[in-house]
Amino acid sequence: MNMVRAIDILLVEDSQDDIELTLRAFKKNSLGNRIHIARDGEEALEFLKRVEKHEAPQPGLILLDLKLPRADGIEVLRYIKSREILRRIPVVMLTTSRNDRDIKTCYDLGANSYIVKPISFKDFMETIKNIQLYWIVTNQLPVVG
Amino acid sequence: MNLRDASIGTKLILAITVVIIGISSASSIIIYTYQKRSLDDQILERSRTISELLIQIGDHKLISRVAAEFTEVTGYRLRQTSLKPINPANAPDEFEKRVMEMFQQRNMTEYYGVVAGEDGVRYFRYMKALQTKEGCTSCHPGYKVGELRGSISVVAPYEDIATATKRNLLYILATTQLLTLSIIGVLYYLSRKIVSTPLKELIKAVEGSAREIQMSEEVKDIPVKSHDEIGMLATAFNNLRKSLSESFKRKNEAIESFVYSISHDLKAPLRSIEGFSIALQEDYGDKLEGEAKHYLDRVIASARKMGVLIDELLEYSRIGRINLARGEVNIAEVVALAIEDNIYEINKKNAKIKIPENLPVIKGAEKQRIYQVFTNLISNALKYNDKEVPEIEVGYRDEGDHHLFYVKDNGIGFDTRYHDKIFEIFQRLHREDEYEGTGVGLAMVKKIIETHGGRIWAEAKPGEGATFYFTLPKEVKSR
Repeated sequence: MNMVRAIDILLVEDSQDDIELTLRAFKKNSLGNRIHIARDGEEALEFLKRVEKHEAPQPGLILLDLKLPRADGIEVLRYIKSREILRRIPVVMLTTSRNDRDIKTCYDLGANSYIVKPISFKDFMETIKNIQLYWIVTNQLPVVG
Repeated sequence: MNLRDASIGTKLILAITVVIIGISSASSIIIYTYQKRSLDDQILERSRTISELLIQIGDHKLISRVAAEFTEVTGYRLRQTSLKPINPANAPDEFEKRVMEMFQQRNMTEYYGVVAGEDGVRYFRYMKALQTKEGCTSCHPGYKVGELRGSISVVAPYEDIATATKRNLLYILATTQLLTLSIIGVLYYLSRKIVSTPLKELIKAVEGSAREIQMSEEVKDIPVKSHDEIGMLATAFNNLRKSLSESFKRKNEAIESFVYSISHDLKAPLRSIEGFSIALQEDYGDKLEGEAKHYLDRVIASARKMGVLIDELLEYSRIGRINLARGEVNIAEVVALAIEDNIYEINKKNAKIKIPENLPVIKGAEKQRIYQVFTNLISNALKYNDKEVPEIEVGYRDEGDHHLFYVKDNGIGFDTRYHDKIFEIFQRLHREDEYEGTGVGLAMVKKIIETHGGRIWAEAKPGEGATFYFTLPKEVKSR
């Protein structure tokens, strides 16, 4: 059996509703992860820069929305994948866009997964659960630090 | 062949041919007439001159000598004749007699014309009246001065001249027509080279790019080979295509962004409504009273229904806009999938399904969409069916240039008054508590069939079932 570590998660999401619903889903599955929230691209970049300076804990997983105010998801993704310290952190795109170009761009930039937010709440909960199960339990994450 | 279907080159050449042949024929005939008339004039002038001369000479012996001389040189026969000849050799022939009688009656002194002889050969004949002069009465005592004594008669050969003139005419005609033909030949060659061939190339190129647009391939510019009207036409075509595809692209992008904003802006709050309602239900459900609980259930159910509607609307808008994989679609396989999709209802309702064995394979179709058509129609046939044993028949007929399919049921049918309504999006014939559904299914089926180049219609009778017919081309053309 895998040892489930209580990793930190960075959730980059501008919608208050989605943040609350995501937090609720995470809480339900109670894996005990600490979740950091960035409400736009700038905020996410600031947090990541603090991580690089060891002023903030390094997240083991990043959930990144695509359409964000100010710096968008693409920009944040590009930054993550270009930084020595950050680039190994799995980035899961979590967005409403089904656009082929968006999907391609994200994978080209090194996104580790691309998930379209399900429309129904039930499916949304299911998806969050699956993300948790796969990326934190099934998948072997690189050692932080 | 209808002249309207002929190429521009052929029409031009035909018109030019008619005009040139007309002009050349007319001019040949004019030349011929003029030539003939001047020949006639020439003969007349000669005859007249020699006759006057003979009359001037007066002396009979000298007249005979001059006449003989003249005959030798020109071939004209000259003689004197009289109604009352002293010398029997001077007796008039039929023509001469008639003319001299005319001279007497009408006081004429000259007559000429082309006359056929007994041998059928034509001669130009000229006669000049001989009036009795004072010196004559000595030898011709029976005449008064001024009275018609006789005539000089000239018989000029005419047949050969006429034949020669006619031959001339034929030569002229032959030459001009030959010339016409060669001019037309040159024109035909030039029209092909300058007009026809470049136009045909242009048409081919335009058709080529039309095909490329249809196949959504990259469209190449039509080559501009000259700077004349045809070259300008090619450039105009290129510009037209460019501006069309630009505006098409802009519209497409507008639709894309519209659909995106629907999916993004409408779906997200909807998820929140449902999500927080469920959270409320889960976390505080036991604190809510009966009616409050019921209202909350209604909110959740409505949010879910709206979610389904938005999803179906999005799916509907994707048909024909988003290209799915195309290729050979085995209808038998697709029908089997569609039945599998409805197997729960089929078993539950104990339905019988009949499928023909000769189902075809269609080229260039979107399998996913064709499958949706059959799934929807079979699902409808099951849903709107209250019979003990619902019977559904999938049918097929080869109709030459297209396939005809139908899905027939023994269900509740519908009033054909509503034929068009049932194919409209969000239109339903039944209350929601009778038959559930959103009214997208048939609209989607119709759009799929039409984007594949087919047609759909239905026949039905309330209580006796409905049959949905649709056609599909044997080879679906790409959009």
